[in-house]
Amino acid sequence: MLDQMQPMIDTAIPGQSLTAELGSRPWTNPPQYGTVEEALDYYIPRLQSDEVTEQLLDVLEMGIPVTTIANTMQLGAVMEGKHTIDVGMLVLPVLVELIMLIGDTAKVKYTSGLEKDKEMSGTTVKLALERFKQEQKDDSMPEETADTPVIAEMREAADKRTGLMSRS
Amino acid sequence: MPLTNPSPILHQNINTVMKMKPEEKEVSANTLMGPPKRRQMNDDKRGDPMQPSRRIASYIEAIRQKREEITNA
Repeated sequence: MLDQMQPMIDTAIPGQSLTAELGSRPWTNPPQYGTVEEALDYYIPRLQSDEVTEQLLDVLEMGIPVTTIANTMQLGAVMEGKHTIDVGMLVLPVLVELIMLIGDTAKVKYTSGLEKDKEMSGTTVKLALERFKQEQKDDSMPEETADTPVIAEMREAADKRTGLMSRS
Repeated sequence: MPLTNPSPILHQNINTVMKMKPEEKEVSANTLMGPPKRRQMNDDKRGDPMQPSRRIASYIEAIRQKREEITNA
């Protein structure tokens, strides 16, 4: 809720895209590759080249998540006018898998950066916190004692429903 | 919070697409007792292997198979 109340001052102002002449930026021109297949034909040879592979493995070893690398690659290509954002979104999962394949081939330990891993770490912390809270509650709460005969009788009487509306 | 990296969500979406493989159904003739043509066309679209999501799912399946071969070897 608090996030929604904050003003978004880091976004483009209305009409900002019209401050540069149409076609002067790569992303305002028609994309070089129109389909997913064409875009993959652009990425795969690049990723397979020795130079890029070495750099990629270095980055993976540094612990940067695969998803972040793939997204950066895709965004860079959009900025260069290689493909549209739509194609970039479609290509993104394939890029993630490709980078993981390169990492596996080179036997490099990498961070995938996928949501499941984050959820796992989040839930373990949450679970630990919940257990801690539960333990604190258990310590502060007095233990339940067995009912005395009077209380037991009262409970029985309460269970026996009488009156016009009671069901027999 | 604005979304800066959509790849985990997209990856999850593709995983769901891969799980939802189109079932082979008996093709009913477009007779009086058959389903309306519009519904028939929608069903065809959903299971269309040429849909971008299905195409990407097939690429990912191929890459995953290779990864499994490498990790198991």
